Amino acid sequence: MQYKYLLMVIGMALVTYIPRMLPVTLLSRIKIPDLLIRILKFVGPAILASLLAPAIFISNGVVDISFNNIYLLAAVPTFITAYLTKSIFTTVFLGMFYLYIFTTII
Amino acid sequence: MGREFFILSYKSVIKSAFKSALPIIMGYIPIGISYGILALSTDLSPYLIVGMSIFVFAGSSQLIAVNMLTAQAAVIPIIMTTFLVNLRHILMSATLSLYFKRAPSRLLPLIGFLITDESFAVGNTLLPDKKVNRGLYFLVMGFSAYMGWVLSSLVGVLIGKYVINFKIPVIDFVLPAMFIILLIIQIRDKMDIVVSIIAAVLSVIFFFICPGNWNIIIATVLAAVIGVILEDAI
Repeated sequence: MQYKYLLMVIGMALVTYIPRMLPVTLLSRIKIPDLLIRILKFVGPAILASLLAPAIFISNGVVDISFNNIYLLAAVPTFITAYLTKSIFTTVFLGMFYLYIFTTII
Repeated sequence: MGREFFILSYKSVIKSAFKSALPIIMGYIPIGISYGILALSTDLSPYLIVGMSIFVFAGSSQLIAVNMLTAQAAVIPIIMTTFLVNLRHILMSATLSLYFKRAPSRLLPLIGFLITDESFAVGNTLLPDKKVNRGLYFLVMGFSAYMGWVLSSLVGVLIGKYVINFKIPVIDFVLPAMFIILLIIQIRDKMDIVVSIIAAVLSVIFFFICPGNWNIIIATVLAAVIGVILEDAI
């Protein structure tokens, strides 16, 4: 029984490691076309927005843009804090504080 | 620029890299502990639960695997799902390669192992400002986060027997808050804002169209390509 799961963990490890390892290992050593570099420069903000948007706009499986969505409410002052402080630590701590406030009052 | 200078600079690189991993670790603690506790309810042995954190090191796909095991899924679909869920790292790995042109080749496979949503976000934000030791910086930052993940899931396994209802609600906001600040730091001009908004909208739309985190990779690629097209059009 555990043997089957051992194979599962090995399989999961391989399919996770290969996409992580191959591009950084190969592309670091070759000249990347300019067009690809221009696309990759947008990947940073785009991927963060893609990760963030479902976390704050979707609540219980539906798009929720209302005052009931405390994650969306907390995101607003968190964005302002991020913009003003540019500090990861301050933003994360105050972000949790804002969520706590909204959880308490709503 | 003697030997001492380099030792000092190594020390400062390690110190600042560890510091930048702290918010990631804070976000991993509740997720890792939840993963450990939840995984105990499957047939996985405690060794394999922690082993998965050590060898796979991918939070969302580990939680999905646990979910699928609870639903009696077979091993092959779980591996396939893991592959699809983690395919987005290809984009991050390709983007980070821009910073490691001068990093020693033997470090690159290790750097690759440590690429996650979080280490990518912190790395892609902070690496452009580092002129030297970028490889070491990313390794220390990524490895600190990795240790945070492995130890958190170990704690989850150890306390799982005693905890029935485990929930700290505000901690859920650590990773979204971290994505917010990293997004703000990465925005250099108006076109970055436009691309981010397009990506956010597409990600939410594709979240409902296709399961398994595909929304992230589709929205990112489409938004980045649209950004380049818009740049050329203006």
